[in-house]
Amino acid sequence: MTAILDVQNLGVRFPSGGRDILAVRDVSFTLYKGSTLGFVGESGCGKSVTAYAILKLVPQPGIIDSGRILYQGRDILRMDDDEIRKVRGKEIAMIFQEPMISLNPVFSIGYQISESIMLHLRMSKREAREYSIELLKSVGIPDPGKRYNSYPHEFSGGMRQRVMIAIALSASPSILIADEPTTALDVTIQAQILEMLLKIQEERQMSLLLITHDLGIVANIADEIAIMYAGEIAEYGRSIDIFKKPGHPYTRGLFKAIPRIGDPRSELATIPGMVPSITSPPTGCVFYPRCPIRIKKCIQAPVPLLHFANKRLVRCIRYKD
Amino acid sequence: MKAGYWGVLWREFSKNRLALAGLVIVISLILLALCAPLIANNKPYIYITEGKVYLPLFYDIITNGKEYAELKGTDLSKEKFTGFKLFPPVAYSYSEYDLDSIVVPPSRKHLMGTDEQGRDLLARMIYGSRVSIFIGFIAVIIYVAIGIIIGSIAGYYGGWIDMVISRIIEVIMCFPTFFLILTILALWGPSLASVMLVIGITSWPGIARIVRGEFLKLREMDFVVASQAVGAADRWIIFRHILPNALAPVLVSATFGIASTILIESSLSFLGFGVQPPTPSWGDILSQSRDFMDFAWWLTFIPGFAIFITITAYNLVGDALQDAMNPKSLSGK
Ligand SMILES: Nc1ncnc2c1ncn2[C@@H]1O[C@H](COP(=O)(O)OP(=O)(O)O)[C@@H](O)[C@H]1O
Ligand SMILES: [Mg+2]
Repeated sequence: MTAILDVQNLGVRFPSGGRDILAVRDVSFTLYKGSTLGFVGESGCGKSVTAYAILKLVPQPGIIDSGRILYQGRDILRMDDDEIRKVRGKEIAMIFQEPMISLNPVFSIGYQISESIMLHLRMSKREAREYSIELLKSVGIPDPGKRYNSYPHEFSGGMRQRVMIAIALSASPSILIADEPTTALDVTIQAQILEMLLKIQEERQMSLLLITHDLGIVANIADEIAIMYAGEIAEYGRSIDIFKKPGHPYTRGLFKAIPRIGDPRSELATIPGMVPSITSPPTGCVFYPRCPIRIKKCIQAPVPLLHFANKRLVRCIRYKD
Repeated sequence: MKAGYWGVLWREFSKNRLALAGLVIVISLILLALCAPLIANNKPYIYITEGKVYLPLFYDIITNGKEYAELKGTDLSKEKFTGFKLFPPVAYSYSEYDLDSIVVPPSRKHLMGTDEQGRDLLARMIYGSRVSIFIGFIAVIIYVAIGIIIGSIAGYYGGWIDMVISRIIEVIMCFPTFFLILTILALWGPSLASVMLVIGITSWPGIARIVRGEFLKLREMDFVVASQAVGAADRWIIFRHILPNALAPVLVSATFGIASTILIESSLSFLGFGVQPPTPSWGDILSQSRDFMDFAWWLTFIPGFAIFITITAYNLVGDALQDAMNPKSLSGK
């Protein structure tokens, strides 16, 4: 397997008053060609910020203050505006959580797809139109020729997300970052969209960074999984390994929170407590306040990512227990 | 039904009857102003005599004030020429004196009466609409353009650029605009151009503020991030994606702006700082009528009422536009 995206020691902070929020700390992971990396964690743990950082689009007032993001060997963080614009959409594309506001209400969806096509591909208006219709068809929009001229407000959330995917695919990127692509949608539609996304990924041999707060979604999809907690990676490894034997108590908590259909005993378990906002480098384990297996030693020194087994990392000193 | 963004806006707008009436008035006034020389003129459209056809009015317009050599010096509205004459609906020009009918009340001959120099008030009102509307539009176009550019820059880039621009806006907003205009006119001397320029230059902060606010709001919208994520350039995003979304509120403000500019112009003319005679403006007509208020009600009432109706019409349109932009009607739910 060849690495296509290598994120090393990424750090992002948000200045706020005197105390900066350290939203992403020392995050490293590798995305391999044609594979799917699941990025999982509760809301507010830094998943989106990490994703935005990959395109150098961290929202204001965020600052990327450390790390390297190597795309095919080139550091994205050192690219100037022109260089990064050629990567965005063309090499790495992204879809967002809220399809209702990801499309510009003023323009027809056909215009918006054509626009992204013409940004990167040399096509005439007519070719772009034909290609747009083809893309709309491939993401499952019925009657794409007619829908080309529709406006966003005429589409449902699921349809808008399909349009967003069509836009993201328009320049045939090698990496697709999907930031909670189905969170805002109805359950039935969630499954359809995911299925479509995976089919396209396979057809195009695209690498997929799939971000979600629902471990259940990535269970059958991801080749590898990174579990994020409070701006750090808590556990990282191949998904079959993690599913067989989660190493971090937080991962075990997330597993318990997956609702199982047809299992009357399992009510939705949640991990008590909330994701803390970290404003100073932690002196011990950041999960300590919520951890069911905590001991004194956990807060005496910062916990590094420990090698747990082959290709497995876990940020917990009690992984052996 | 197929309706784009502006289509939905129009659908919401047109639900408001009063605003539609306002829009009709606004459009009629614009047409009236554009066509003034064709509606009020003392030259006939067509004049046929001794087997020859003349088009004095059009000839006058096309040649910018020339007359047919054969007709030189003849006042076609007075001379009892034989032949066929077809005059515009108001057969007077705004500067035509008729010393036989000074300060006559509205009658069939002069539908709105005449002023102290025997000039037809209706003709003057029609021409006066040109000044008001011309000033309104040009001044507003000037300041809307300045406001959009400055507001976009502040709102898109934020940070220190926004800080500096916002302070400048606050300072200019503290200026008492009307007195600033009076001062500058006193220095430069009154003229149509200086009135427009001064209004244009002093009024942009309002628009800049609106645009800046819209940009700050829209900049965070996912569709802006989405177009950044496909690799669009800053300039493209500002002008192609954010600005059209910020335009509707600007349109509202511009509509109110035209109303207030017309009012400012009328006030300036009323105080004697406006356009110079013989170009009539409504404020001017109103101002000159002061001395005859006791016995010539029409000379004050008509221009006053016209100003009132015009301002009201613009404000109605602006209000309804604002209501139509209610996010509920555009979210598509
Ligand atoms: N625009 C912002 N301004 C300030 N802080 C932010 C901003 N965006 C994100 N953060 C901080 O970064 C943390 C992680 O956010 P995010 O990556 O959006 O979480 P999620 O995992 O839900 O996608 C948040 O808890 C917040 O403290
Ligand atoms: Mg998020």
